[in-house]
Amino acid sequence: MCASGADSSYLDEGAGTPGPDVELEPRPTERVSTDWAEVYRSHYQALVRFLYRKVWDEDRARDLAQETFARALGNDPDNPRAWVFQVAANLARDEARLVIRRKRHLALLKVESSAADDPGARPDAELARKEQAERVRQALEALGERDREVLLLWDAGLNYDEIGARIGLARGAVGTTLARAKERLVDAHGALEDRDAALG
Amino acid sequence: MQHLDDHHLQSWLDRDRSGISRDEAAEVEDHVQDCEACAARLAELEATTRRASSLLAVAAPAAEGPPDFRDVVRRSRRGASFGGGGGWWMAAGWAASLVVGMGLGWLAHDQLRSGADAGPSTAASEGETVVAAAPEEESPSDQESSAAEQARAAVPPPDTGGTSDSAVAADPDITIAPTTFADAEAPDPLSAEPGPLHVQGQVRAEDGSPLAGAQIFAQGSSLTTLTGSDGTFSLSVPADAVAADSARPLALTAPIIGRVADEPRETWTPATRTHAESQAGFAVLIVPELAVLEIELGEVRGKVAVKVRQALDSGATLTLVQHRADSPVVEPTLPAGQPAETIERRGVRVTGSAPIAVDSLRVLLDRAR
Repeated sequence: MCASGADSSYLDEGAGTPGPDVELEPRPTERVSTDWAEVYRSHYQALVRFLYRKVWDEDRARDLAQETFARALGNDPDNPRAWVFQVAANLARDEARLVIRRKRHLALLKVESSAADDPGARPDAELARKEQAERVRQALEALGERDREVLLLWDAGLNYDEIGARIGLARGAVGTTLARAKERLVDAHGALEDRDAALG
Repeated sequence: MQHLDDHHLQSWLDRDRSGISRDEAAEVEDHVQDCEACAARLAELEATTRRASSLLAVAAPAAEGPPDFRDVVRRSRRGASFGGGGGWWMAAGWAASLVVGMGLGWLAHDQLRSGADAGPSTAASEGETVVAAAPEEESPSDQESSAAEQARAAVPPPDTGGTSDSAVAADPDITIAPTTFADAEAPDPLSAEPGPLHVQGQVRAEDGSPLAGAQIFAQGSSLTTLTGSDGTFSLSVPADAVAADSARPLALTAPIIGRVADEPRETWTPATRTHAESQAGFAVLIVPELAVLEIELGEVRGKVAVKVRQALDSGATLTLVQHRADSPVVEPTLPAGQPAETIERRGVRVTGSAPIAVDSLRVLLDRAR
């Protein structure tokens, strides 16, 4: 262990001012008390769903969900659930920006050839389901970003306070936004159904 | 009569999580009983909610139970992460942890020296065990598909006036088993035929599992290589690298493996890293072939702790980080005084969040973006 001042080193975590030699002193961190395993078990599904509606890729959604929780460890937020959705939303947003590079990476790293199709499903049913999922996706896209986000967070199980905090809405405005978002979704989807029916 | 707006109605529908008080809920219920218009609106909203929920259910992935939480822990510990944009990208499958190179290098040297007489050895001094004393030369990192077998010239700056250290605590997670180097087959330089010496071995973690992507320096030469996915390596060292001083056998050292932690840094104990750094004078990030790391810059009392981000595309496989105060950052080099946002150099991206000068880098270890 180096004792001389010239050679001693430590991570200067403050504003950049070298302080006394505290190299053996770990950075004071709060003890993590969030039971992330529990949060993970109870919210993994909802998180995957939430992410799926952003990246529209099941595998990516699951991977992002895993990543979200991997990053969560070591943190101790006041509201783990809301925090997790925040991180996930950020990841999904960042992800969208680097789609191209990621695809290249993935191509080099691994080959996941098979899609997650349920082999047992009849092809017709599967196709119909996919079509409808696609309609819902389009309907969601038709919503404004705020409406969509409120809706997705609601669907994920967050309460009004959490939704409001995430979106920047007063709690009193969440209900109205939700009602509007749902109506818009249903209407947009209906319009798409009509369009598809008309197209035959 | 005052009608209820959607805020109240929707909040009542979501009364389990809207924060609506019991009194407020009762008010809604009372009102709806007497007001047809509001009752109708409530029913409408309820139907819409059901419809919206079922639509959303369609646009959902197949329900699968969460994978084992230990996967999450493992992923977190190895810092494997990806991100988009300014996020941190890293391929899965590499693990790095703090390992003390100092004592290790010393030990390695000792073991390899068995039999050879205690000749002068620059590696003997504890301060320099892990440094490959080599002239400064940099080879551009280029695309190489298999890094493990390739010796690259990587140049850590000479560690002059080494930090005098005794035993150094290793990160409990992973250490390089000292016996690894004992396993290395190094021909006796004295009897070796002229020609390259072939050295091979395996780097193992403390639990015996192979450590991929560990960097091996061949002391006395500028050669270095990386361990493969099975932890093995082989290095061919020109005979004249050791022939010059026949009393000094080829010594292999594994430098400190720095943990490239994902940010934020809560999971990264600076002291541990610092501790190891102060021992050997530098920390080296081991970057397996397909890894992408993020760079953070920080000041370590005049030393620069740099975690390197290297794009997968560049194929760069290892980057030296951290240098002593008296030797500037070699790679990557930052222009003095430049506020570092993101500097890309040879596929290595350096990101900082504070003004950076080469001689004195400020701390950026928290929340580097």
